[in-house]
Amino acid sequence: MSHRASAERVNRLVRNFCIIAHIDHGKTTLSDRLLELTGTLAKREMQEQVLDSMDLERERGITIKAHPVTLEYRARDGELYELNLIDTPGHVDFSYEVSRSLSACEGALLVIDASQGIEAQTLANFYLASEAKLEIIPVINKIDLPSADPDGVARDVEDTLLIEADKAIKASAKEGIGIEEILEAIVTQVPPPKGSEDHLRALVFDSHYDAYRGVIAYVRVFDGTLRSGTRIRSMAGDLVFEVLEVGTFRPEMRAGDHLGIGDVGYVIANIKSLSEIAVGDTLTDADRPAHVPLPGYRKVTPMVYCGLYANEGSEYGDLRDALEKLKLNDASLSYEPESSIALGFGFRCGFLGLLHMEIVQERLEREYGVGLIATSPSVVYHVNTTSGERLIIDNPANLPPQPKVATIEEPYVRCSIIAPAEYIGTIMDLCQTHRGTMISMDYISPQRVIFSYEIPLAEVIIDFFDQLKSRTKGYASMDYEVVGFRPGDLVKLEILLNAEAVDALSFIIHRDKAAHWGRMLAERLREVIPRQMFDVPIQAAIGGKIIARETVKAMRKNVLAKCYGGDITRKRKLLEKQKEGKKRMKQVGSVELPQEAFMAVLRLRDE
Amino acid sequence: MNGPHWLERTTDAGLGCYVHVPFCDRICPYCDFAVVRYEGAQLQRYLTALIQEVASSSREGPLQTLYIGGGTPSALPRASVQLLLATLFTRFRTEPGTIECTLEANPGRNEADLGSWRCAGVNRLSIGVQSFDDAELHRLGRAHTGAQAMAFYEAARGAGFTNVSLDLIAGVPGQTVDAFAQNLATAIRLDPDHVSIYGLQVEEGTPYARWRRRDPRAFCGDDMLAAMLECADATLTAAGYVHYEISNFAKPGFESAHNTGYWRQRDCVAFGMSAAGYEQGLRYRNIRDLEGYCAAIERAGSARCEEEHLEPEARLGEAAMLALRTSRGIDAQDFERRFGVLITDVFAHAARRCIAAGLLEQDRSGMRLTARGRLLANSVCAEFLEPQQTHVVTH
Repeated sequence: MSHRASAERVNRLVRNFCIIAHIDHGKTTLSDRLLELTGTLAKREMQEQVLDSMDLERERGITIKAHPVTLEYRARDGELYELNLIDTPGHVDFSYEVSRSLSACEGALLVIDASQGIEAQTLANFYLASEAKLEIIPVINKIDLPSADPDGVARDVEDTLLIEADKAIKASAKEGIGIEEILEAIVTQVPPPKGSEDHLRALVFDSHYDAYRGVIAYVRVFDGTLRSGTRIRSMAGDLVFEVLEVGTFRPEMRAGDHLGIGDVGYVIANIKSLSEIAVGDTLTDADRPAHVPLPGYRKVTPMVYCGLYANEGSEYGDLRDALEKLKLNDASLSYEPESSIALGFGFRCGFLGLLHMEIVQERLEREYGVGLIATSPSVVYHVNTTSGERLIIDNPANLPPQPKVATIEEPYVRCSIIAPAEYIGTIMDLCQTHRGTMISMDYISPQRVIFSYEIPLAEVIIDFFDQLKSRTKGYASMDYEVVGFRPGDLVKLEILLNAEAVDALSFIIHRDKAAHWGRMLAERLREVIPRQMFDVPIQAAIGGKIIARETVKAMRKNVLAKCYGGDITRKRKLLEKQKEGKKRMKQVGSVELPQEAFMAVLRLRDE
Repeated sequence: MNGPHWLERTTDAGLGCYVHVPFCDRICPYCDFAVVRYEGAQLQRYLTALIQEVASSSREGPLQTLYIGGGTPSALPRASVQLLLATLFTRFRTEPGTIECTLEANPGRNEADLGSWRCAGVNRLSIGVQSFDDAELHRLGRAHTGAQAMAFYEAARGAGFTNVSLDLIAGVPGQTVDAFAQNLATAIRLDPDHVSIYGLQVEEGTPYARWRRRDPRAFCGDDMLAAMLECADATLTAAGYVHYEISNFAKPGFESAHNTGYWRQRDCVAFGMSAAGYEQGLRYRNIRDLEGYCAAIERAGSARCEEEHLEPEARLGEAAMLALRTSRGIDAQDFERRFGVLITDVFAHAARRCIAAGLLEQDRSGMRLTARGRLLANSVCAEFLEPQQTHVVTH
């Protein structure tokens, strides 16, 4: 063997692939069939949807966490191949994780529903896979359905994705049709992994936390060999660990001797927390390190924030413990203690996106039994002050006073929307009212259109998706990715009660919408603030200028008439009860507010 | 006889007596007092239990006031009223006719009994008129008409009653401020000695509560009720009545001595189902249902189901809550004498807040509600329930 050959070695009998799809197009069912057909799991051992291990995922039919598995497949050429299936998260919130999983592969199965056709996530995933230079094998799934149009979908694939129609495999994962063809295509079309024997480089594409063994990192080895006993260094995190165990997923973890070029498996190395070994980081040999890490690593930052509070103030400690535990398994969750006048002590939590937020909230309630109050979500703003500082504001209450603010920048997303052509008008209207700018509009087929819009994330997280669904009777699909921060004409909308600004009720909003929201807020507050001893003026103001005003009229009557035949105790108890009710209210300046008042405002945006 | 001397004699050391007669011909749909339908056999058993309870009381007389409330005590057979009163006067060594003795009466029947009640020692009648408007009376579920109420009043006067009070309800469903003012005008024309105005309170569990859930707009809002109560204050005051307590108006000298006793935490023995009494710092209440009450008395001679001993501070807070209901308010000297405290110390915070809100006025002699404060008395009283410092000494 020549010197050159040792520098670049091909792992001929290994294929690394993933399955990507729009939600509900059948990714998980297909994974199950592949496991079954390769004998990785016997049918009777299989619980439906083996790979989605979290209850919540199974219930929602979505995959949050990628869980790799090695399939042994004897191909028609007679060779025994190891096919590493890397399952990917199915939602836009996790697009960075998706991109890392994709870069661990050489090929991708792009699953498309034979009756639904190409959807927004199909495209988004396709572009991600193309960027990662993967060999893409289209699988047109659910051909058994009466409404299936596999030929039409194949034509769209050719027109839109520029993949020859006859390359698409027609299958039904449910009925087991086309599964072997798919396995053969993986072997014949997906290139085998190759790499250099020197200088270990392994990509961390996911991880999970185990209470007994610490962090279990999922890796794909690109160059060199990863053995137990190796001292490894994480190149971005710059930490050194000693490898205690390596192994593969079959699908349960099976310890092995080493992981070589192109292999997919796990590493246990006495790593205490997920934050020590970020997804996308490169592991190398600490003693003979590689010079350059694998490309694509970035630090994930939360885009959406909300306040989480325990229903009962006394559960604050439980909530903190639950967040700590959850964080062990979810490095992208961030939280910091905050206190709110209205809700007491809680946490400001950062999430990758709306779905991520919902999942965290549900897990806290379901797995940890904490009753939650969540404030409405907001985005993170970059604020440039007149003194040249750049502040990152994730809570409107922290926005400096107006004169100190030079500009405010907000996150924008590039939003792809696919919908039947008849909804063009209503979709354009929706995007416009949400401050969207159209980048392009194209026909995928004569009946279907794809829009590309740039929209402020703040507009998207409020009600955009729900409105899109209702305006298009559920036919539109949508996907988005953050494209950066841009200055906007943003103002702080303040609510004044009895002429005093109430921090907990203020928020950041576009100037054009401020007046409308201000009026709605003032009106809503008038409905929920109980009458006090005096008139309470409610004002909405932008930069000190009042834009809306309502008044809660002073209480006029609150008196018990009868003495109930001298039953003084009953009278006193009634008053004590009334006083208790008062104590539960929050004193904001001179005004007493029930918690419902805050919640009504915080939830106003949902409606 | 009907001068103010009863009131003057009402000191903290005195004793009142309340007797509950729960029977009614029909149950009004807004009522959540302890009441039962009038029925002969039950009545006999109840009266027997009641008299047994009175007999087994260890408290010594004499009484300063006696109040027979309900229910509809006037619906009792004449002989039963006589027997009950005779038992009470004898047991507490009180001469009939020397103390204020009130009987609650409903118009429409028992007019013929008026004379016998007087003979038995009743010298004050409290008539449950509620309204003079027949449509309003119908909505209130009352058995009588406006004309019957007027006739009953005249009959009482004819029988020699010189101290008569009328009850009116403000805020009857469908009532306007004008309609309420009409009721007031009619009442004033009759020239009673005392008028009680009760703002309608809808209590959970009553037919009215269900009605209001179905049709909340049928009921007066707080603003309208406030306007009615203000109207009552203006009209009755102009007619020469003193607004001496939140719900009560009297010609000078005709303030209810019995109720004044409640507002001054005077001891009061109580008999009958659900009756609430107060003796030497202990508040107690009897079992609320008829069967339970009778059985308990028959078995043990007592039917008390709740007792609460008031610590000095609670007593002080309660005293303030009660005193604030009266026009006299919290009297500085009185509170210093009774509790050994300066009201300017123990109620400083509460007073400051309420004065700032225009609900309370304060001078050297004490603190009292303003006109607005009377309408918001709960808010004020709640502030006073917990006195500030803990050095309360009962004298």
